[in-house]
Amino acid sequence: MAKFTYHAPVTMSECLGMLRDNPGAKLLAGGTDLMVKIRDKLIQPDVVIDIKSLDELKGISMDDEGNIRIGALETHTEISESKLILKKYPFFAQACRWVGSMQIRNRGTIGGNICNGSPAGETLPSLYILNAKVHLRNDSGKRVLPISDFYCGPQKTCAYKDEIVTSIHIPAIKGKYKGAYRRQGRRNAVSIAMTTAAAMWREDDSTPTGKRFSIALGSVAPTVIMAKNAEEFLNGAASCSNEILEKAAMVALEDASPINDIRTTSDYRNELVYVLVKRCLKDIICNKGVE
Amino acid sequence: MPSVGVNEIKVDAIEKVTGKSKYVDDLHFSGQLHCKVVFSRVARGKIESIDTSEALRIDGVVDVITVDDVPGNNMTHIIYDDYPLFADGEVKFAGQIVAVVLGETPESADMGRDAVSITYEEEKPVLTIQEGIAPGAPLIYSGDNIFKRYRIVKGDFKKAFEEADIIIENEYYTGYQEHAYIETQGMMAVPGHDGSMIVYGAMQCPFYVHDMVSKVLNLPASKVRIVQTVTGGAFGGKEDVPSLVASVAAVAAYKTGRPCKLMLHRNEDIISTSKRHPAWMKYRTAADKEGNILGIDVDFYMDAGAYATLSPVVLWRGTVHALGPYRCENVRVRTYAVATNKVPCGAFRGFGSPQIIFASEAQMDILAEKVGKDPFEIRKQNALNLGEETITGQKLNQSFGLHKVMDEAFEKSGWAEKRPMWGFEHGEGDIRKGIGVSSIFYGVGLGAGGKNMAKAGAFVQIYGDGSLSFAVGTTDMGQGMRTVLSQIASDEMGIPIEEIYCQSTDTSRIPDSGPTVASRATTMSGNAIIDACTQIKERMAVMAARILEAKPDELEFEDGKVFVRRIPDIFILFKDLAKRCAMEKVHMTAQGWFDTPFVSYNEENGQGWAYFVYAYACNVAEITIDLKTGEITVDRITAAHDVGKAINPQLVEGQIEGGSLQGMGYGVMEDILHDEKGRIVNTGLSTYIIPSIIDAPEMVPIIVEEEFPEGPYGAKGFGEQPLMGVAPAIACAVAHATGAHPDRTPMIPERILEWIEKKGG
Ligand SMILES: Cc1cc2nc3c(=O)[nH]c(=O)nc-3n(C[C@H](O)[C@H](O)[C@H](O)COP(=O)(O)OP(=O)(O)OC[C@H]3O[C@@H](n4cnc5c(N)ncnc54)[C@H](O)[C@@H]3O)c2cc1C
Repeated sequence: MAKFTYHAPVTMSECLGMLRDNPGAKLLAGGTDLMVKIRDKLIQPDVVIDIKSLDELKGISMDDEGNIRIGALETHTEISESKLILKKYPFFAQACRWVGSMQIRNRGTIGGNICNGSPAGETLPSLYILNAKVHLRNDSGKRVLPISDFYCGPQKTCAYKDEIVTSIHIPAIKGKYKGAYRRQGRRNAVSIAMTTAAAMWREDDSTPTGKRFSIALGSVAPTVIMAKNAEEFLNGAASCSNEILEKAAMVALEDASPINDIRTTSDYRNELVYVLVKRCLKDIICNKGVE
Repeated sequence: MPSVGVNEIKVDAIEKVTGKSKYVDDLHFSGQLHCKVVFSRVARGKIESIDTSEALRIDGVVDVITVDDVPGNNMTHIIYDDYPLFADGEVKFAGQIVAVVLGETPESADMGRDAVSITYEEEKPVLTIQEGIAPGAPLIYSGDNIFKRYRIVKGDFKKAFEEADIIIENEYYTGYQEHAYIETQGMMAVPGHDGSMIVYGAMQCPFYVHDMVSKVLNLPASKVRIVQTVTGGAFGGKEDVPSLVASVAAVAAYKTGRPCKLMLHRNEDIISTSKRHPAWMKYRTAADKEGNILGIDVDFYMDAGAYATLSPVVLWRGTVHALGPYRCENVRVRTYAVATNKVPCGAFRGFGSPQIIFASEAQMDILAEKVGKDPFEIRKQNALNLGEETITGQKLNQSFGLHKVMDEAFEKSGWAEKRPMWGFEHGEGDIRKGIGVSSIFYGVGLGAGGKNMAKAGAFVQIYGDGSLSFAVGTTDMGQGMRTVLSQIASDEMGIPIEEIYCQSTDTSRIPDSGPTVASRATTMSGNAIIDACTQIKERMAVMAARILEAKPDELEFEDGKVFVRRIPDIFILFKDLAKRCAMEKVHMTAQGWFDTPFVSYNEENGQGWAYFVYAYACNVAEITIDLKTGEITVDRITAAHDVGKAINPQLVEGQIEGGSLQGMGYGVMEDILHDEKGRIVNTGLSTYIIPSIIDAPEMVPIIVEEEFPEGPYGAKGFGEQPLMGVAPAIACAVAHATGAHPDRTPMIPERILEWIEKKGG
């Protein structure tokens, strides 16, 4: 493995200073993506800044309005076992449980998953349908980006070189809602998904069904995407019958643009988009919403 | 207290789970160098130039080794003499060794490797069997790209097909399988001050390594010593390949005069070392309307890769196993090992048989369907009976557990209840359950194909304190040989297993005992140990007889005592006897030897006594299939195995479980993929997918013991069989659950959807 300088700041301002002074630096959280890439010589940073000791990047909490804040350093294990997340967004907890293996979940963080930006990233579809907000910070200030604006390309975020993601926020949902997440890999652990899908509805008087749908898809485009056509179709539909849901899953194929790669073919990914979206929709329609 | 038949704890279990075992990468010698191999990135072409100047300028890089540095034979001998250790002017596959960079540290060697620049005149590679045998194909080997062909001709297959009520004709493909042993290949070569060479490393076959290293270095065999280190899995992958790895390290050590370590990273191991052969099979079966097999006509092609390595013998085993344990009088089998510009394939648990078994068992399933019979019934009906002949004309006249394993698997799997309730026709929604069966036999040992190597030695020594150490020429690679042989030694001398120590396998200690392959270690080395123990006992018995005032041949060695038969009160403790023998200069060491029973084979017609005994197995697989995604979950595997005698039942069950899981991986997920230039693209375990523990089905191992009189305590060898029949049993279950017959491995979801669609379901 190539040599690099290793820093382990203990305060945020120290960390931000290092980021400012070392434009070639890479942040290290759990390292489960970063170290693999360095070893495979995909990247060769001269400086690595370990952020594991920054306490302000930790914690899962909810404010009085029901907005949830998840610190960037929260691991997949912590999120999937969080009582708060399990109660409010069990499908998101489930998504975190799909990541790698127990060892990887104990180590890998949500911040790392988001910043790595793989279109197969396990947490992303759920965060998309939840309209999550990414909180960023650098030496000169803070900013907030909706997750859907956070990516500028495959595995490429719009964060500045000197920015750190501090937390992810899930805005409160008014009224009832229900969400689901499904994915398919080649085996039941340590397997990058061939396709992922998340879907949810929220109570909304302005649609014929009284429900507003959101659907996100992973591994079928350069980044995770919202299935806009399918959402629009459902939001205009008269009912949530089986035929409508199946039709919506067909429409989702127009949103996806999968490719052939080492994991599978574009044809099979299309097959999966249809089945996973259909099943997610059935999951959420056949169940009462929570408040 | 006998030890054989008891679940003794593995003798090396504690050192392994506590991390104390020393694998080759844990060895460090002062002044050692680290080797990094420069592999060809081109599948076929001429080497125009090798420029090492840049690499040699890197700090810490000591030398770069190429074909010019080989002191002896660069052309290695495995079965043929066709595989150059270092590429010599041309490359035939991507992953071939071109040069080796030696560095003071792994990092400098790594940087040096990246700095070596090689230019090639690239040629279009031959990447499939079909391309290899096509008229006018570029020649990789000899006149026709065929390394080896075999045939079996018996009866009149033409007539059988003319008279048949049913003819089933299909083509099958099976994919690659990578061994994915936990420990990758590695060797440490240490030059002696006196012109000798010691090589330590992970291996199955120290005598192969010994032979190649001495030829490559041009040293007399007497000056070479090979020591096996604790080996972290092999599965056949450490049969022939370690000889190459060791020879490269030895050339480096020879040239520099310093210890040289060569460890392959996973991606290097995957691109450059052997795999299970992909195969293409054209299988025709003739049957009467009752479903009795009248004739078979089989063409079996194996994709051997760029050099012959072990392909000729792998092909031979596949040939002999072309039908499995069924009756058939009229046979034509033609088999071919075809050269392609890919990594040479070699030994892998099952050794050429899993491929052809996949095809022959699939034919059985279709036959059952054609005559409206249950797949279990059709197999029982065609299964050989004691005294009947295999397709090579060998009468099965002993240790014959075929029907027993079938009956046990039938019972314990609940086949009779499940088969009619499950299947494509029975179920709602997208989910179906299926249950499938396969039955197999396996020729134990090297058989007539390798009869010159079928020998084994053992060295046994009793110390003055009554403890015993032994050494054998076969190896433990995790399968438990050290434990099982310790149990045998324990019972032979009648002393507790705690008093016994199995030395590491070392070619300076033991005569050439052939390879540790073909499930032969227990039988061969076990018998050699018995031979050695018997010699020592004879000498000790003379002393004991004097003390006990009895005749030597009346004495029994048991429970730590030597006593007069039927008069257990007249005894001497073994410890005391050993002490006395030591004082009175009784020779308490012996070399044991075992040579195999008779085998024969006629290459003209493929008839003969191919193996001295067969093992039998029946697998039942239960699966769940999602008809919409094609996702397949293997829920349960019932595996009944006739092993002759389970020296250690728990280790046998361990083999059954591990082998079944590996067989499941072969069946449903594992495959090696190449790009259009013939380079392997899934070079890591994140993209070469093997089952994880979470994917492991429930396993029901069943041990059947049909004693093999010539084996130690009746054992006849075990290790490979658990893998062989699993993929076919799953295929049978897939056919049950979907109504469509798989014709390819791995049975990945994409293909399952294709089969369902083709069937029109
Ligand atoms: C064996 C294995 C299996 C895996 N399986 C899965 C899987 O099933 N699903 C899945 O989605 N992923 C999987 N992964 C990928 C990985 O584990 C996850 O993406 C994980 O969430 C990454 O988190 P980390 O903390 O380890 O990130 P790191 O490796 O530390 O960082 C990843 C990237 O994000 C940047 N970064 C990290 N934190 C911040 C921050 N706070 N602000 C700005 N930039 C930051 C780093 O600089 C780096 O570029 C797997 C990885 C391995 C090794």
